[in-house]
Amino acid sequence: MRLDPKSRALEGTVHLRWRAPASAPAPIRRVPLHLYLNAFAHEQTTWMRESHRGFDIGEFLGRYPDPWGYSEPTAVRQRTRAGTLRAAMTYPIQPDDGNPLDRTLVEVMLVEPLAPGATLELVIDFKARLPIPIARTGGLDDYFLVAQWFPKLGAYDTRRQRFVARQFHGPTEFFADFADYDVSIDVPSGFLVGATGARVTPRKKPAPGRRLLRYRQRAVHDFAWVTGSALVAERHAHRPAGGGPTVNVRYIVPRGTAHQVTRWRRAVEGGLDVLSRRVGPYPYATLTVVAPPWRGRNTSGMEYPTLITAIVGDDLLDSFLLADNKVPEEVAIHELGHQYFYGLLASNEQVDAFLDEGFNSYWHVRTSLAVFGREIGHVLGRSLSSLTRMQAGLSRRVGAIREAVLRSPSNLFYPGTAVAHIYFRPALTLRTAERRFGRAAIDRVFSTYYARYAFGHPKPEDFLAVAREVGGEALEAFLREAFTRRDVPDFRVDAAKTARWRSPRGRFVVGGTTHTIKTDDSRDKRDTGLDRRAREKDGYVWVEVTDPGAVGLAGSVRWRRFKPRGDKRDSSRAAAKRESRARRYYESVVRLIGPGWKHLPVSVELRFDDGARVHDLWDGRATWRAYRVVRAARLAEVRIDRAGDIALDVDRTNNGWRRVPERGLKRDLGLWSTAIGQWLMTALGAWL
Amino acid sequence: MSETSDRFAPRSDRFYRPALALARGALVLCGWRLLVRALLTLPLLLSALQVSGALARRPYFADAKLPLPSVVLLHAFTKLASLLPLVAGLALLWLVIEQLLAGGALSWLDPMRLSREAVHHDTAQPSASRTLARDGLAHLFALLRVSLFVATLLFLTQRGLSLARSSIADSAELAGASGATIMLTLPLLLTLAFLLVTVVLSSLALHTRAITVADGRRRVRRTALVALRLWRRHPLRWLVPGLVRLLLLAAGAALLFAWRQSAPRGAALAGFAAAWLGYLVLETYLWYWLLRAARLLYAGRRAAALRDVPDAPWGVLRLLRYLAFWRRRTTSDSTATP
Repeated sequence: MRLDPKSRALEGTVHLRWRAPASAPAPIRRVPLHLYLNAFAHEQTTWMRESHRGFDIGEFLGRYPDPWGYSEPTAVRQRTRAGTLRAAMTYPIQPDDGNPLDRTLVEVMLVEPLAPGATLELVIDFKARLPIPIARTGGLDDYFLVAQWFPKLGAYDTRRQRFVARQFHGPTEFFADFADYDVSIDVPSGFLVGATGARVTPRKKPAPGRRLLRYRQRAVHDFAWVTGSALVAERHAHRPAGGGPTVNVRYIVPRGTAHQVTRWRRAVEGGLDVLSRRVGPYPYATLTVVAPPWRGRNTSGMEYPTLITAIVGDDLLDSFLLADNKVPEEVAIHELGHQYFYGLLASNEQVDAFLDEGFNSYWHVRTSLAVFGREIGHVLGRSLSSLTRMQAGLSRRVGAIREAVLRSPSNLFYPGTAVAHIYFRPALTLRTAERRFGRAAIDRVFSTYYARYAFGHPKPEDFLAVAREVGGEALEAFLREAFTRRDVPDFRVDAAKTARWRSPRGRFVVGGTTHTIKTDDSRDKRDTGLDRRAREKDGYVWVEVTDPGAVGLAGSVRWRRFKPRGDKRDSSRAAAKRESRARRYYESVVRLIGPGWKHLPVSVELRFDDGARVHDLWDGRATWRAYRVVRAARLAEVRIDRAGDIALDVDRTNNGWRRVPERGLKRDLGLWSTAIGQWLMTALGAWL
Repeated sequence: MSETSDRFAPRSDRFYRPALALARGALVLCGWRLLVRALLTLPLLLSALQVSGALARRPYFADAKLPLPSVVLLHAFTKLASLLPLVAGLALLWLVIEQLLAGGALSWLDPMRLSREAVHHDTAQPSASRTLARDGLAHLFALLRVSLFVATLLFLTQRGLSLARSSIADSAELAGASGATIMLTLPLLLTLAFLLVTVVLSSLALHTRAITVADGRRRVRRTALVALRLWRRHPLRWLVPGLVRLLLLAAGAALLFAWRQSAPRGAALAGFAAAWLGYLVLETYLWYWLLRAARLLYAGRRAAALRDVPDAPWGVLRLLRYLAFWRRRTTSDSTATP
């Protein structure tokens, strides 16, 4: 493999050996090859049409008139049973969208069909050109992240007994079989190289003015490398706390930013410790962490087997904005986590992207918290944790969500919601599960999942089966519901009011005595007709609970008694005054709205002026629920999920109600926003 | 300008210091401005308290730790953003009222008239309030056109700087500049450039208004040129209004930022509210000071020649009409030729 930095050209030969599964039902006549770099060949490729993360190609072309990259096999030959090499025909295919201009997938018509269990040997000469970094790969001048660079065999699904290769799509990434790689890299002398795997002695000597390096790695499903003339490297060995081999971590950063390696080290070594303890040991002996220079920032935040790219290595990280902020480290932790979910478990990211990105997002929040504690993320001295950022991210897109997480392929989520489905929803689902079923249960599920399916390309059902087996039926039921429901749950207080209880006007009988209350009397005879349960002589608070039921679940209106928590006696002077007066009774009515999930119970708390708190666990199956209470204290507050256990409920602003507004906040925000308005008026007057 | 009125023109080259003293009627002018502002802001205050009251009923906001975490604050801002249309409407209304007040105040603060009054103890003039209303209305349309003119210049400047930013960022990136240079230094420099332009434009607006009222001019672009010629005569003093206004805005922004950062309650909140009221009073006084100083500057000796510049139109429309007619004539002449 030879790189010419000036033209960004690559030229090389792939010697590919692949053994067909013995269980294959018929001889294999065609094999797919990914030509991922062709996604960046022009502006009408499928990847470009799907416009990953709103990439603005117009602006990019204004800066770089010729950013395009491509990949092209120049000769594909198959070794026949006779031992000779015979040219095989290749042609582009577009199984996903029929886009005739997309050439990210080609099919090789084999010269000789491949019998089940037989070994295919292909020799592929190819030339390619790296794009100026648009996303995930590319380079220019003195920095190149060479990823998705070679014609790559599509993955064979042994469960479905066929190749499952797909075109390259904007929102999703890669899927491939595990293989042993042995790669020789030829770069100009003076260029530093980092790559997947460990460096070994090259087979031949380099040409004058060139460097020749050779890397080998067993059991990985991709190979990426980085090179540049303005890069420096540091190597630090780390033995993960959770076991596994000592990992030689090589940090490659732009010249002048070597002092930032300490930041990456803390993140990566801490991350390895947490993940190896909670999920499982990292089995490789090497890891390369690259901080791209600013011009290569579109290659940042990427993962390849044993090679990850962090956020940029730049003076920007030393500025007041990011010097104390741990978001850059968090990116490194996220990419490190991919070594497990993308690298080792290696689910099909094109079909079930959430198994990688979503699970990894959950773990990067946990890992970041474990490594950095509360210091992670802040804005102007205010905390901004990864979890809240994730919730805010989902909250922004929640209105556009149309589908469940568990649907495929992952590139076909409603436009603009892919990130919410692939990253945020699964991560917040796992967080909710952790709060409900305990962290230990989630740890057990993941460690079993990893131990059982590492190198195994698990599917969602595999994970759910492990969840059921290790975490229990309830956990599995919750996860399944969360992954298959279209809606994002939102519990909210729909209505709440509290008012003086008055005797019912009209004629009624209590204890054999007939009462007739006229409009004028209702104030004087205020306790007449009062339910005796309201007096709470038994020490319980009686609540009328209305539950409309759901499909297969009958609705009901029931009186339930609750042992109130908290001090019912309010020792304040106002309370003493109230006591001295005749007791007054209040009728409080609360109506709550919920998503109506089967496996998402939620806690509800009603707090009264006398300090009494009533706690109810609502099973959440109905879409609403109402409470009616008559007692000698007014309702002060209603809270749903006070502890914040349901992380998936991203709009927490509507999870509560207070009768009396918090005066300080009301005045503060009211006056401040008025002052802001006045300031804007001043500004307009001053400038115009 | 007649010789009689020149007798009362400012003798010294000092403009800003003498303007600090409160002239007769100054308190009335400032009082009216504060009162109008308070009345105008009242609907905003009531709406803001209503919105913030609704927020304060939600435990999510009410029970959050202080200072409010970023996400809580962001949610609060989202709810408070419902006030934006009202703020925008009031700001536009204020802009109009500000021109009315400025026109009246500039007219009242005519240095010749004030000097005459001081010399002859002539108190039979119309009151400050009446002048404010009458002359404010008389000059309102001209002063609003000054706003429109400056807004156009400001917009063009912003567009120009935006294009420059994009172009410079591209060049810097191609030259291999660091992220810190592109993301921090460059925006900072461009912001400084923009602020510098706003200082100039803000000064231009004020001086153009002062000249408009002083001479009763009606041609805004021509008056702006006179204001620019005044800049040549007083290079630094001319810029004082823009600079003072910028500093005032910066001080206000800093106060509001500190207010939000400290999330005050009780006495601290009262302190911030009082500080803000103080800020508004200071802003009103500076408004008066700058108007008076602008009038003094234009009444000064070095500006004498400028006062004779005619207020005639440039004749752009006439020229266009002439050109169109000439073209039509030449076209018809050529077609009439056998």
